[in-house]
Amino acid sequence: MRSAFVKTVFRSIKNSFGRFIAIFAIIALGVGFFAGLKATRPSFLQTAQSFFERYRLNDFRLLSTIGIDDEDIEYLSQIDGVSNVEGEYNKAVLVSRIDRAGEIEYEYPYVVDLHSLTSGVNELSLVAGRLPSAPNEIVLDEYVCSSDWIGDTIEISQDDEDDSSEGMAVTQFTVVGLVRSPEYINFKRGTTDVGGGQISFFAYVPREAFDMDYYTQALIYYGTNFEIYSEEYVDYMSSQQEIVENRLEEAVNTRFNDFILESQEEIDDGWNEYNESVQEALDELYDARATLDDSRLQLLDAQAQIDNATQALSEADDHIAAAYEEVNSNFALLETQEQELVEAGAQLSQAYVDIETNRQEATSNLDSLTQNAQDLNDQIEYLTSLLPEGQTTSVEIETANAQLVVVNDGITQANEAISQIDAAQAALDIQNAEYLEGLEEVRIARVQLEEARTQLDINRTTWQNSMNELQISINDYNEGYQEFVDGEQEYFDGVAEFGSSSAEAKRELVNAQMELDKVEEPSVFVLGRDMNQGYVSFENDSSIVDGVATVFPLFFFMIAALVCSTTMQRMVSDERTQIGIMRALGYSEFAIIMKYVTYSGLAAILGGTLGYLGGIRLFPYVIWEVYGMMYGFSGIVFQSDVWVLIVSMLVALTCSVLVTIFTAKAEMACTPADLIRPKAPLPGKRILLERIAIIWRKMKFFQKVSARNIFRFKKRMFMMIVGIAGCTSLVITGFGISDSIKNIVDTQYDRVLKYDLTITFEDSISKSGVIKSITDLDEEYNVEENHVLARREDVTHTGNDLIRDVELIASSDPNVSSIFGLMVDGNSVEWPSFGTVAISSKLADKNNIKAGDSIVFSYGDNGQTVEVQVAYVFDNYIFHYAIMSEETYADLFDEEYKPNTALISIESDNIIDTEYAKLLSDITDVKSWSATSSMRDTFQATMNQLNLVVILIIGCAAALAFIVLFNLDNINISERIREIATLKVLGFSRNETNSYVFRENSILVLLSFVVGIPLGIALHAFVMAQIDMDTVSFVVQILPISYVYSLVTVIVFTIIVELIMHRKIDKIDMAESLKSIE
Amino acid sequence: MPYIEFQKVSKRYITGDVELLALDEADFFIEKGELAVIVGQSGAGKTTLLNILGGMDRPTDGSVFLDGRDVSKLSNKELALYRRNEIGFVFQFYNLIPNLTAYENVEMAAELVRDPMDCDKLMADVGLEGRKQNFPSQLSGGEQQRTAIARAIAKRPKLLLCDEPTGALDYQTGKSVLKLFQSLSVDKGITVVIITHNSAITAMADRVITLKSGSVSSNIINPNPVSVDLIEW
Ligand SMILES: Nc1ncnc2c1ncn2[C@@H]1O[C@H](COP(=O)(O)OP(=O)(O)OP(=O)(O)O)[C@@H](O)[C@H]1O
Ligand SMILES: [Mg+2]
Repeated sequence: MRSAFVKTVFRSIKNSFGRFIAIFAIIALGVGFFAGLKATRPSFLQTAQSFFERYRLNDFRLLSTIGIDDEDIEYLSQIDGVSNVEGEYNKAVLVSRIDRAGEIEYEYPYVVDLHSLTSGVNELSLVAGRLPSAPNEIVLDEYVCSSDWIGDTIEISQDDEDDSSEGMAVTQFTVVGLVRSPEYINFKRGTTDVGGGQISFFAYVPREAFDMDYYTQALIYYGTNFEIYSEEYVDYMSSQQEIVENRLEEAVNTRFNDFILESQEEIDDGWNEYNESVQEALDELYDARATLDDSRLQLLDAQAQIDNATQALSEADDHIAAAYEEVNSNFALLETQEQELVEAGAQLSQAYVDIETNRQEATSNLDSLTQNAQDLNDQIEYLTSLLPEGQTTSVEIETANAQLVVVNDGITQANEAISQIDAAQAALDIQNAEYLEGLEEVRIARVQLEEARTQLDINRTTWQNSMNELQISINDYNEGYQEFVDGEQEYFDGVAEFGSSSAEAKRELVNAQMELDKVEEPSVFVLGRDMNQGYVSFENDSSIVDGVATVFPLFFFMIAALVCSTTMQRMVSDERTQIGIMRALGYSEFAIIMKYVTYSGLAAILGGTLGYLGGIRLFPYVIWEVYGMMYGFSGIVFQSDVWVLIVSMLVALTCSVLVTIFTAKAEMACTPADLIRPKAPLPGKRILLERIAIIWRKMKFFQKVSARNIFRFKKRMFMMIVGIAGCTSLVITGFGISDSIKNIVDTQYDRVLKYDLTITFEDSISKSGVIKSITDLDEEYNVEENHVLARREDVTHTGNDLIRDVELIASSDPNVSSIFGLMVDGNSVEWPSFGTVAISSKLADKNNIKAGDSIVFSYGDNGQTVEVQVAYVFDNYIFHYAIMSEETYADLFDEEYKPNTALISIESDNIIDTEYAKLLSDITDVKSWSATSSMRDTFQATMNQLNLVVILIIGCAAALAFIVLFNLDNINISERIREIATLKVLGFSRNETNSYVFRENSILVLLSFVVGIPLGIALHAFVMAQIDMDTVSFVVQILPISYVYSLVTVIVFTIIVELIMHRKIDKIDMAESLKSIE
Repeated sequence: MPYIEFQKVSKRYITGDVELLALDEADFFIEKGELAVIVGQSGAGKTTLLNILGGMDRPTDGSVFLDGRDVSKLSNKELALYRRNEIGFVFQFYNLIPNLTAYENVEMAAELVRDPMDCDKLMADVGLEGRKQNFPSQLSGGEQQRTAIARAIAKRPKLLLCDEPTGALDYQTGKSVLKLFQSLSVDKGITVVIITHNSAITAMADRVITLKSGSVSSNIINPNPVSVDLIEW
C-alpha cells in the first residue's frame, strides 16, 4: 500500500512533469525571491562583519592637534577592553610611478594617502604579491592599481609646494603587492588639500619609511563580538568613546603642558640671546662711530692746513707773478731806452755823417769858391791883361770883379759854414758822449734785470715744489675723506642692518610668543566608525533592498497559490475517473487527497528548498556583484535567518498543500459514480456581453468565441490577470524607479546648485580680500566665473527620527539666484525675506514642516539654538539646506554678518574646478573647498547602482511572466487538445489555430494592463518610499514613455511564450487526440 | 481513374521495440457520389485508413488519390487547405466546440470556406432549427452528432468521412443520422465514406469495403442499396 502510494505519486509526477515543474518553479521563484531579498542585507552585513573582524577595522581613530606619541599609545592601551592600540603615520603625498624600465609614467600625478603599516588593527588583505618587509617597499590600493604595478617604483615628489617628501625617511619605494584595507570599503578615497584634492589611491609602507616626531593618529581596536551597526555596538562604542576621549585628552594635555613650558623657555632664551646680541651689535656700532668722528676731525685739520698752504702759495704766486711783471716791464723800458739810444746813436751817426758831408760840402764849396776866386782873379788879371789889348772890356772885368765879390762873399759864407759845422761837430761830440754814457747805463740796467729774473725763476721753482707738495697732501686728504665716507656708509649700513635684523629677530620672538600664547589647549578627536565614509554608506546601501523584500515576494506567492490551484484542479479532473474507481474501491477521500497533497507538497518543498538555497545565494551574490563597483572588498559571505526559511516554507506549503486540499475537496464533492463518468468539458455559457446586442453583433465570430472563452475559465483569467498585471506593475516600477532617480543628480546640480565650487575662507580673510583674490586669479588665468559670497554654516536640525545635518547659507548678494536656484514646484521664487528661512524639501517633508511653521537649528559646540520662521519649502534633491538673507543671519545669530564662503560657478572651460580651487588656495587662506563635481559623481555612481536594481526587478518580472504564461498556456492547450485538434481537422491553418488559442491571451494581457498600470503606479510609490534615502529626495515619477516601454516589454514576454507554445500546438496530433475521450 | 484510390498504402507504427503495420499495402477505390461503408474487425486499420484519406495523417508508403490529386504528397499547409475545402469529418464523439452554440459550431465551419451552405437551412435539414442557440452540453448525443454532420457539410465538402458516427447513439437516433448521410449522398451527390462495426448498415451502401489486418480483403459494389428506413438491427 505504502509503496503503491509512493508509486502512484511518482507516476503522476512523471506523467505530468510539466505541471510538477510549474508548481516547483513558481514556489522556487517566490521563495527564492523572498529568501534572497531577505538574505541580502544579512549577507552583506555578515560579509562586512567578517571582513572587519578579519582585518580588524579600527573602532576609533584618534587624532590630536599635537600628534600622538608612544607614551600616549601606551597610556591608551591601558583602557579596559581595548585589544590593540597602534600609532600610525599618515600623510597625503604626490607620487609618480616609474616602471621597471625606468620610464616615468607621469610626473607626480597621483595623490596618495600614505599610511604606515599597523599590526593588530587595520590589517591589510593581500590581493597580490606580498607585504612590505623593508622600509623601501610599498603595497598599493588594489581597487585602483593593477598587478602589473608590482615591481614598479613609486617615487614621492621632492620639493613640491605640498612638501610631499617632508617627514619621509624614504622617498623611493618598490611596489611589492596589492592590498585592500578595511578602512576603505567603498570606492571613495576621500579628499585632501594636497595636489588636486582628490585622493587617487591609498598605499601602505613600513613605519620606518616615515621620519616624523609624532604619530599622525592612533587606531584602537576592541575586538568586540557585537554585530556591526547594531545598537549594542553603537551603545558600547559611544560609552567607550568618552573614556577614550578622556584618556587621550589626559595624555595629550600632559605632553602639551610640557611642551608649552619648553616652548616658553625657548622663547625666553631667545629673548636673552636677542638682548645680548643687540648689546654687542650696539657696542660695535658705537666704536665704529667714535673712530669715524676722530678721522672726521683729522680730516678737518688737514683741510685747514691745506687751505692755508693754498692761500700762501697763491699769494706767493701773485708776488712772483708781479715781480716777473716788473722785471718784464723794466726790461721793456730798458728795451725802449735802448731803442731810443740806438735811435739816438743812429741819429748821431747820421749827424756825424751829415756834418762830414756838410763839412766836405762846405770845404769843397770853399775850395771851389777859392778856386773860383782864384779863377776870377786869374781871369781879372787875364782880363785886365787883356783889357789893354782890349780884347776884354772893363764890364767883363767889372762883372768878373762883381763875381769875384760874390765869390768872396761865398768864401766868407763858406768859412762861416765851416765854422758852424765845427760848432755842430763840437755839439755832436757832446751828444755822442752822452749817448755812450746812456749805452753804458742800459747795459748795467740789463745786467741788473737779468739778475732779478734769475732770482724770480728760482722763486718760481721753489713755489712749484711747494705747490706739488700741496697737491699730494690734497690727494691724501681726498683719500682720507673717501675712506671716511665709506666708513660712514658702512656704519649706516651696519646700523640699518642691525635695525632690521634685530627687528626680525624681535618679530620672530614676538610671533613665537604670540603663537605660543595663541596655542590653544590641544584638541583631541576620537572618531568612531561612524566617521568612516565607507562604513557608514555601506549600512545605508546594504539596506536599500530590504525595504522591497516583503512586497515583491507577495506577488510571487499569490501567483504560486494560483498556479498551484489551477494545476491541481486540472490534475484532479484529469484523474477523475481514476479517483472515482479508487473511491469505488473503498479508498477514503483523505487517502486520495493525500496523493495530491503529497504531489504538490513535494513540488513545494523541493521548489522551496531549491528556491531558498538558490535565492539566499543568487540574490545576495548578484546584488553584491552590482555593489562590487562600490564595495569590492571581499567575496560575499552568505547569511540568512532561520525564520526566513521557516516563513518561506510555511508560505510555500500554504500555497501548495492548502490550496491543493481545497481544490481537490471541491473537485471530489460528488459521488464516486459521478466521478467515474467523464467530466463534460466545461459547458459553454452565455456571457454578459451577449446581452449588449449592439456590441455583440458587431463583433467578429472569432472575437465572440474568445470573449466567451475568457469567461469560461474564470480562475485562469484571474490568474492570468494577476500574473500579467503583477508583471506589468513590476516592469512599470522598474522603469519608474529609473525615471525617479535618473534626473535628480542633473536637476540638483544643474538647476538648484549651479555652482562648481564651495570655497570657505579662513576667518582672517576679509570680504574685499576674497573678492580681490578671486578677481586677481580670474585676470591671471583669464577665467570667467560667477561668484557669490555667502555665510555658510553647518547646523543641525533635530527631527522626530534623526538629527540631520543642514547646510545654512546666508547671503544677500544680488547675484545669488544665478548660483542657487530656489524653486517651488518648478517656479523660481524670491530669496526669503527678513526674519524667515527657506528650507529644502526633504528636510521639510521628513519633519512635517510647512511654510509658516517655525524651525529650530542647533549650531556650535555647545548646541546653541536658533528658531526661525519658514518662508517656504524649495525643491531640492540632495542634502538639506536652509537659506536666509544676510540680515536674517545677523539678527538670528546676533553677530555681524561676514561672508566666509565663495560659491563659484566657472563659466569658461580653460580651467577645471579643482584646479581653480587649488590656485585660489595658493594665493589666499582657504580653509576648505569642495568641488560640486565630485559630489555629483558620487551621487551619480549611487544612482547608477540603483539602475541595476531596476534590471533585477525587470528580470524577475520576466521570470514571473514566463512562469505564469507557460503554466497557463500549457494547461489551456492540454485541456483544449480536442478542441484544437478539431479545428485542425476542420482545416484551420496554423495561424488561424494559433490565433484562435492565443487571442484570449492577448485580450487578457490587455485586461491585465488595465489592472497592472494602477498597480504599477502604487507599487512604484511604495518602492520609492521604501528605498527612500535621507539625504536624497527622489522625484517620484513615471514618465509616459516608460508606460509604453513597460507595456511593450510585457507584450514581448507574451509573444516569446506564445512563439514557444506554437510549437506545442503544431505537435498536436489530430488523429491521436480525436480517437476517444480520454 | 476512380474518384478515390488507395495504391498500396501502408501505415507503420513503431512503439518502442514493437513495430505494427496498421495498413498493409491497402489497395481500393471508390467512385464519385458513392456511399461507401468500410467494415472490419477492431484493430483492422479502419480509422487509420480514414485518417489518411481525410488528410489527418500520412501513409508510410503508397499513394492516396482524391479526384486525381495525390494527397499523400501534399505539404502540411496544403493538407490543411485540403481538409478545409474538400473534406467533411464526422467523429464518433462529435467533437463540437463546447463553448459555441450548435449554430455557431456550424457557422464556424461555414466561415472557413468561400461558398458555404446556408447555415440556417442546414440546421433545418438536420432537424435542429429549434436548438440552434443551445450549447453542445445542452444537446443530446444524436443532436450533437447531427450538429457535427451539419458542421461537416456546411463547407460543401467533396468527401464526407464518418468514423463510427452512430457508435454513441441509440437505435433511432443512429438511424436518423444514417438517413441524413444517405440523403446527402443521393440528393446532393456527395461522396460519403462511413466506418462502422454494424454490418447491417452495409445494406444501405453503394460499396462495401472490408479490411482485414490492414489489407483490403474485399471491395464489393452493392447493386441494390436499400433505404435506411428498411434496415433493421
Ligand atoms: N498511434 C498509434 N500508435 C500505435 N499503434 C496504433 C496507433 N494508432 C492505431 N494503432 C494500431 O493500429 C491498428 C489499427 O488501428 P485502427 O484504430 O485503425 O483500428 P480500427 O480498425 O479503427 O479499430 P476499432 O474498430 O477498434 O476502432 C491497431 O492495432 C492499433 O492498435
Ligand atoms: Mg477505429
